[in-house]
Amino acid sequence: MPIALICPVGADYPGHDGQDLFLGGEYLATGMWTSVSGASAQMQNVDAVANNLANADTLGFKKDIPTFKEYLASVEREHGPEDIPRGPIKDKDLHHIDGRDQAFVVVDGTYTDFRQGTLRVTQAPLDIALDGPGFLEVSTPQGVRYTRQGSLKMAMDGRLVTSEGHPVLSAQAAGLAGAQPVDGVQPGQGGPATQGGVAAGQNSAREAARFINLRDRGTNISIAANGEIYAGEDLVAKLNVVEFQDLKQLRKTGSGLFDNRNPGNILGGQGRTVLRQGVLETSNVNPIEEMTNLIKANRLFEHDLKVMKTYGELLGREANDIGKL
Amino acid sequence: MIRALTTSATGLEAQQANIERISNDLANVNTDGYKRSRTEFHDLMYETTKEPGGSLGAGTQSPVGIQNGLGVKVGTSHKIFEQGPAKMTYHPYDLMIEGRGFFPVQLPNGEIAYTRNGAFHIDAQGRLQTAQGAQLIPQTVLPSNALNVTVGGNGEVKAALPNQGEVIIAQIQLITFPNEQGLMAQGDGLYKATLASGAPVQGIPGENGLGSIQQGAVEGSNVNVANSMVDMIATQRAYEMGTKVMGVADQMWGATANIK
Repeated sequence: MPIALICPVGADYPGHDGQDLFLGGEYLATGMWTSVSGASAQMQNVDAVANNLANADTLGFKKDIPTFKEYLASVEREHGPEDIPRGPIKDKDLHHIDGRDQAFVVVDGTYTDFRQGTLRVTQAPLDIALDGPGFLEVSTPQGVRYTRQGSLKMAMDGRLVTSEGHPVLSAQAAGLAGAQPVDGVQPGQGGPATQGGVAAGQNSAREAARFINLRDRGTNISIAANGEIYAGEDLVAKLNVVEFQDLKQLRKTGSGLFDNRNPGNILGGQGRTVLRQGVLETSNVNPIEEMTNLIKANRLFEHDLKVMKTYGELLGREANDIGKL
Repeated sequence: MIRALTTSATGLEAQQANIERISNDLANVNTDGYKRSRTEFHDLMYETTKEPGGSLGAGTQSPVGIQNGLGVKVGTSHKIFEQGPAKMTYHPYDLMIEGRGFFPVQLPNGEIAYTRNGAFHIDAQGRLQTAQGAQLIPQTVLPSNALNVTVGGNGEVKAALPNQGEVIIAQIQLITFPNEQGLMAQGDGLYKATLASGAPVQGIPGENGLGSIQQGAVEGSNVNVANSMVDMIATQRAYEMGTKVMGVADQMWGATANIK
């Protein structure tokens, strides 16, 4: 541990009766590293703010919030009953230094805020916004991913794709009328069994069967609130809107895509998500909040630096001035 | 720290692309047949320090991971083929498409392009062509003695000829694409087919979902000034906030350098 290198002197050092000056020295070095950990945590905070603000206009973007936790560097002495000192009372008898006062801070996690983003009306027939906690299921070369980016496009072969070109998946195999439900999943149900197999990325053929093709379906495409896509009067397919038990388990992979590694996380049954055609969900970044976080992080960082500087000065005095006394 | 700097730089770049798009839209607010564009942003990749759901020990999984985003990129920028407003000109060779479709034209260099700007003119031989000299396909020649040329909603070009009465002299065809947004804008209101747009599909105006033709009108630009201004304000503010973050990152960096 770097602290030990700086000041290996402890209160209970063998042959050492816990001189108070050195006790102070130990405090200093550890405290310095505590403020270093604080400063680097605030740097991460600024990184997160920078990314959130950079994506303030990204469709379907969900902001990230770093969370911090305290981290006990060392428990130097077991916390036990206070001993009554025999003889004269010294400082160390009053303060039980067990490491609990020297907590470092580390980033515990970045948690994605899945709150609904602002909806923007575009009137484009293939723009859809998900109102509710659901995700669209898309097929990527890396396997099935989930997205809330609803600016869908039609590929040259008529497939319904995201703006990155990843095909959107329907709830069941192509040709909705008279089609065999995949794995016995009834229409309108995101069955966990199907999803699990697909999420494992092992069944691209089954994914391909669930591509939505709007070729030669005319121009009058309407998408109902439950995800059913109609061309004129005909039901073409039903978008698979997937909801998750625990959104925090989703992993961002960029381009508005989320990866779900735990098949059991997918909720079956009828979802609560409502689709709105001609509307897009924009980013859920709140600039006011981000700017506030930025100011806070900036100031806390400054405070941490101040503390570091003070420790530096104190150590300098310890090194230079004590000898002069 | 360098991360925050570069991350906010990607944001500035994206907002700059947005303002460039808005300025082009606003510059073309009075261009006949112009279609506004839309810029879409995508978040860049994430640096994953800790997997969400990663194992922390027997039976314990981390409920959240640590993922740091690295910024934003311009995902797509494409045209929105929404109908523009009709501008009545009462000029016989001004044709407006009401609905979907493009006029196929042949450029002077022989290439085929597609346009929605239907302000046609006739050349010395009586051929219908755009202001840039691109000929309408199939070639439509108006006889020099034609009187009173009318174009029907279905694309039939009729003219009254002396001693013959009214005769059909041409049939205008329209073109659609499986994916119009995949067309490549060439300027001059012209578009070219690409792999993404799919092959052109020819048809008679007013049939199979194609728009019909309105004579004596041109399609104005579909730029919505109010929307563009709102976009501009949002873009400007987003840009400002990006520079603020950059400033803070710089300050923090500077402060670190000055500790000692």
